Amino acid sequence: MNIRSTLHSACVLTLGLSASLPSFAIDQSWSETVKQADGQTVYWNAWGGSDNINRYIQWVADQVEDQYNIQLEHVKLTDTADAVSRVLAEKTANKNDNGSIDLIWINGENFRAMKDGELLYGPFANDLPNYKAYVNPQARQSLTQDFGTAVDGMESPWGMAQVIFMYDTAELETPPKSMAQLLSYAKANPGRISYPEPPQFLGSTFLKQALHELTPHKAALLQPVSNIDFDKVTKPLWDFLDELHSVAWRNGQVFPSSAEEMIRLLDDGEIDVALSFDVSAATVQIDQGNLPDTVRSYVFTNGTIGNTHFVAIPYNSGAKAAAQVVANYLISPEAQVYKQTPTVWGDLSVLDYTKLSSSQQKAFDDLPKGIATLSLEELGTTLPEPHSSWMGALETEWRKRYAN
Amino acid sequence: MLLPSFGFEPAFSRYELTLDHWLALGSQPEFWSGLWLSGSSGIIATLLSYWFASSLLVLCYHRSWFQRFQSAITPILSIPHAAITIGLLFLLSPSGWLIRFISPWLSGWDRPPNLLTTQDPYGITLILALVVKEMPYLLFALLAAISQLNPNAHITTARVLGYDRTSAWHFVVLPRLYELIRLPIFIVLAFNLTVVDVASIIGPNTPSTLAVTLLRWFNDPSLSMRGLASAAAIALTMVVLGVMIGWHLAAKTLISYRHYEALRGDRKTPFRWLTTVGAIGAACTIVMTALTLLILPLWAFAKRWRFPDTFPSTWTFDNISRASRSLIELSTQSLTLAFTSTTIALVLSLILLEKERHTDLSRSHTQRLLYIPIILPQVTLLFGVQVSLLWLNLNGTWYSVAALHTFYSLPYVYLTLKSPYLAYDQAYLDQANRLKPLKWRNFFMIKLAMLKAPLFATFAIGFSVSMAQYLPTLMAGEGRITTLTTEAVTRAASGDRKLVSIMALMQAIMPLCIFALAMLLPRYWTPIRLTIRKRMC
Amino acid sequence: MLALKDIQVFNQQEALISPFSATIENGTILAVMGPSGIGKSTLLAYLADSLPAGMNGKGEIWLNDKPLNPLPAEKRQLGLLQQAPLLFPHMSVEENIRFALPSNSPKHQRRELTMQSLASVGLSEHANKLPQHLSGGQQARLALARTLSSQPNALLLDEPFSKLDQSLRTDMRKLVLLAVKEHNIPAILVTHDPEDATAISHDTCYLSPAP
Repeated sequence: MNIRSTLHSACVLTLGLSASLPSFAIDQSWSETVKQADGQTVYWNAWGGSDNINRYIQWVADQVEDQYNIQLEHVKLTDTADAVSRVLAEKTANKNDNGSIDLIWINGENFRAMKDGELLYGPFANDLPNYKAYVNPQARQSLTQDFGTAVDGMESPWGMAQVIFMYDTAELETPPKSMAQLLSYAKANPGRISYPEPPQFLGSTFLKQALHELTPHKAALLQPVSNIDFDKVTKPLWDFLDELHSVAWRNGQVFPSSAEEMIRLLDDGEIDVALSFDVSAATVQIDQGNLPDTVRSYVFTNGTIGNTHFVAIPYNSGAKAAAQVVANYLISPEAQVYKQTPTVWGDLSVLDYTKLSSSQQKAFDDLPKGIATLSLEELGTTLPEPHSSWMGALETEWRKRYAN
Repeated sequence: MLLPSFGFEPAFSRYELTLDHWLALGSQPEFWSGLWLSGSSGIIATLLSYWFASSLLVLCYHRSWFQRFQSAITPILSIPHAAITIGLLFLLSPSGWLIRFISPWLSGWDRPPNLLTTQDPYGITLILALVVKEMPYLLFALLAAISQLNPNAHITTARVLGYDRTSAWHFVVLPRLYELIRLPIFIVLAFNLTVVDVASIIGPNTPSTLAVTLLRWFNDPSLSMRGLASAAAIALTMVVLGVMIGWHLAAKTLISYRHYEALRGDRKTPFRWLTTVGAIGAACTIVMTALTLLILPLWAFAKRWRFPDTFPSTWTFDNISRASRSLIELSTQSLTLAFTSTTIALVLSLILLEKERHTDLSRSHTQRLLYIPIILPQVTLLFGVQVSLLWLNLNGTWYSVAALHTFYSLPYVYLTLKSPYLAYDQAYLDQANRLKPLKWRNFFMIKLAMLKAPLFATFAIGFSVSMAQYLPTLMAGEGRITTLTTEAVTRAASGDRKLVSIMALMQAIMPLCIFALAMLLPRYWTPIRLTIRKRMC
Repeated sequence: MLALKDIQVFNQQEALISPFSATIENGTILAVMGPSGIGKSTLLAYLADSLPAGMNGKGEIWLNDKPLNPLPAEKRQLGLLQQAPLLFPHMSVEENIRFALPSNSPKHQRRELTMQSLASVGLSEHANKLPQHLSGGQQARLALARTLSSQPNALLLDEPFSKLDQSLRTDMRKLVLLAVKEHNIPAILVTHDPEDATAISHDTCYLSPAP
């Protein structure tokens, strides 16, 4: 707690001033937006399964209340699809203003569904002052192509995630560093390997990671599923899973329901390898006493899947101005550096390092590195997400094969 | 609810009626497997609950400690089932407390065994969790019913005629007792077949029970799944009705068989050994409940607790302080909802009962209407409610959540209050009115004051019902209104055991406190009032 | 022959009556009298092994020279007739009797025995009614018939006439006396009504409270 509050004040000291730096460049309409936002309440529907993320969101809520007089309410979701279906239901019920959601933490399939269904407000992201000041859309493909869907300013980036694996060095000398090694490890140690149950986000990502490694038709993954021969492309994946499940944890009859459960299972020694979309997961969990301090993170030799996550505003939000202000605050250097602090969340910044001032760069440089967090170099290659239509197709096929 | 399943969805501008959803449902393998799982776990859990509860009653009713035991288990009823289920999960899982107890010295496991103890595909732990929750409830219902039957005298009569105690129960008391608790059994049956929270915490998920699966369908972004979910919800309701009818017929057959046994002249029923086994089952269930309630505080204060340590190696208050902010928020939400809804339900019940006292006709009608929320599956009813709320633009408001909580606690409040309220000797009030013609004042100061013990007890029951509501809060609150229960259930299977334990613990403690207050306050109310009055003068 | 030696009953640890002994020959009735609340019913409950929780008793009970003490209620082969008829409401009149018939009675005779028993108390035409549809007097007679159907070796009567009106009471007394003679068994009648004692008992004794 102590470290965190010192850190916090340090952030405010070094960045507080610079956060207001771009203000001279703000055009009339943005100050108008900020004025409108005053006193509005923003219902932010964001996945709420992780305590450190929830606490970070709470911190953001405190900041925007202090700085902009915005009430930010975190509506904790178990699945972002719930929020999508709610907006959809509201649209079909003709509830076109004052909808129940003002901001959604979103990407991939859900973003595509909302964008295609014209359920989003925008484009707004590219006009946010902090976006213009600090984000370089060319830095990463995932900033403009969200799972193969063009972003077009309909969502504003918030953070970057990459799949990492965790293992306990006290139990295991060399962890499996590819899907093939994972399978042979599972065969040698039955019952010690598992992955979250699709359609849980991380579980689906595991499927994509495996598919990426196993299929010879890698180019097909970037196209919509309807354009290719699904069975042919995915056959190696199902063969792999059939083999894996027979030697997996609980013989593949049950799967962990989330990243948190995997961490719990790793701590209990039920499984030997856990995965997470949160690069600092291991450090944070060690800190909270949920993992032994011998746990370390690693990535696969040929890279792991990574993506950018965003926030978007539903078309029927009643607090669009405040939602934009929040989205803008989220990509302020202040908020991003605090977010990347390993003991806070450790989520990677979306800002372009070269666009930051030297004091802002120093704030990032000074971030403590958790004992089990990988550096950017160590994270290695980021594999692109397949086209967003793959997610649903893989989930449906998976449930058809293994969930009944 | 019925219409959307045939494709009629005015909210989504679809007006044609089709059978598509039903056909799609029939071809969903997850539907059939979920249905099978729901049916088998629901029926078996109900059977076991009744069997255990009645066996315990038969074997222990005459013992001198039973009275004390009875008051000891009553508070268990007030603990929300989510809290108990979470504790059970931490107890029974392969890395759970039970296995920690015997590891590694006995089992040889220094790592958790690769066993399917919780979330097993047959739903055995789900059944166990349902039994742990419903056995005490049925026992309570049995005890309430038996007070009307004068069992001791009938047992004595049968024993003097040569029947041993257990057989006497089977031949003379249980047949009549069953008639009296048929409704509670049906409530349990409907609950077990359609429960969402318990099944999603501890039930299997490949596939899940039908109730859980259809909730997932309902929340799926694509519209077509909604029709599918509606059809599945209707199917589930029909299954519940079918199972009830089947249960009723089976019970009838069994009872007539036992009746035939009774009249054959044999002094010993072949059901006797069943009773012994059942009582052992009941004892195990109670031990398990106790362990369940013990493990929650252990996790709440644990810092490091690795397998196979029997107890945490380091302790901390950090978990609580880390969670304190959300705990306060969630508890406030839970408390205000519970207090508001229970108070409204209590007032409504008083009005209904006061009316009922005058007219005999309304009796059956009111009752039947009130049973709807406790017999109809929550998932089915609430889909309809959610659609209506969406229409009325009332979804996600605190008021609609409070209204639904009232709707669900009303039947329990009404039924609990009914017999003591109607048994009240109206002569006291009449006398008061003759002495001082202040009708309302007398109603409060005489009638309600004399009835304060049942009123407080009823309040405690309504409170605990509201505290336990998961699905109604979720459906009407749309995630905007979160309570200890919704939060604990959402995180149970996946989240951090320590935080989940804290939430479950809070969830269990609050109704327990209210229960304790409800027991103590009426007893000391008058002495305290008089002491205060004395001080003032 | 029923022999009682130094019977005492207690509420918790507190003795209710002074030790009580008696011998009742077959075919005779002993009336036990005493003010209400002294423990008359408790005494019978002790003999029948059906004491309520918190009550207990001591003293030897001998029936036809065999000790009853070690036997549980169902093995004592006593008939108990109480103030309330305690008929089973979920069984018909005839079934109430059939339930009481001893297990060793031959299967083909059970119906016949039932009808005989009903006829002996004049209830033949009510065989298929539910007991709660009978009048008070009929219920009392059915309770007696049921008790006798179980072929008890002794009869314990706990104020069985007190709830009946005068004319029914006389009838019932006659029936009971007849039954005791016919079955040739000993009977104890607990009562606070001196008329009961004078009308049918062969001997009367008075309970005195414990010192």
